[in-house]
Amino acid sequence: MSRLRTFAAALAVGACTAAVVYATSRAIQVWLFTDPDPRTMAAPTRIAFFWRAWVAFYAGTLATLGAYALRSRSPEAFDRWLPTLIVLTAAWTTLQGLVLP
Amino acid sequence: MSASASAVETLRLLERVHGHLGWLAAAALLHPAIVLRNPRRRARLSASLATVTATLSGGLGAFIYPDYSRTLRRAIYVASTRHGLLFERKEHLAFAAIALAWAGCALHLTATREQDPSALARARAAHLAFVASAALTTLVAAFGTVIASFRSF
Repeated sequence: MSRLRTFAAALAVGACTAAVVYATSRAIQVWLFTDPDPRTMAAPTRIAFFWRAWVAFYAGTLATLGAYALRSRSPEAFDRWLPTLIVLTAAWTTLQGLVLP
Repeated sequence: MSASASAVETLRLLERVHGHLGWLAAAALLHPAIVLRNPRRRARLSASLATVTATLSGGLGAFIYPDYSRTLRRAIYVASTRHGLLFERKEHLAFAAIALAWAGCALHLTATREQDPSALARARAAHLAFVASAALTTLVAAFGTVIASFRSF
């Protein structure tokens, strides 16, 4: 059960990382690489949403592995940070989604 | 009925199912968001079903996304930039809502009844994740309804 709990906590961190990476990559795209005007595009050859989601999934998987190793060393300290991580993830993704679409 | 008309009908049906699943997910996520205020409370079936519903809705949205991108996105932007941007907001917030539901579900399914600070922190994190996911899913479902009533397949 202890290993399962560690994996679950790591998975939660991975999911938060995926959401944060998705939001951050979109924010960077909005700030630095302006999209072409959708009204002038006939049909896109690539769908940016899938690329962002794929990169976020990849980052989330890596974060899960790292978080598993970290929690194995110090479960109490790791778990203490989980509520803060959830709040920061929700705040940043909501801010990005609403302000930097 | 021609093949393309049939394809449009199928897309329209999938879009409707996606929208209904989205509202269902918003309602389903409210349950763990409310009952898990108490860290000792268990709602494993509710947490799992809510997460599965949100994931199914997101998966269906991703399935029809290429067709939206090819045939509908430009038309929405031409008619109203505000609605086009609303769709962008919807897709970003939906990604976060599903990720947070998974985080909450993973933490809750392995929760214990122990009262040590570690177990309480995990229970609190699961509750917060479901609250955020429920709020974001409700927002996403509302945005989706506005867009679908404005322009559809």
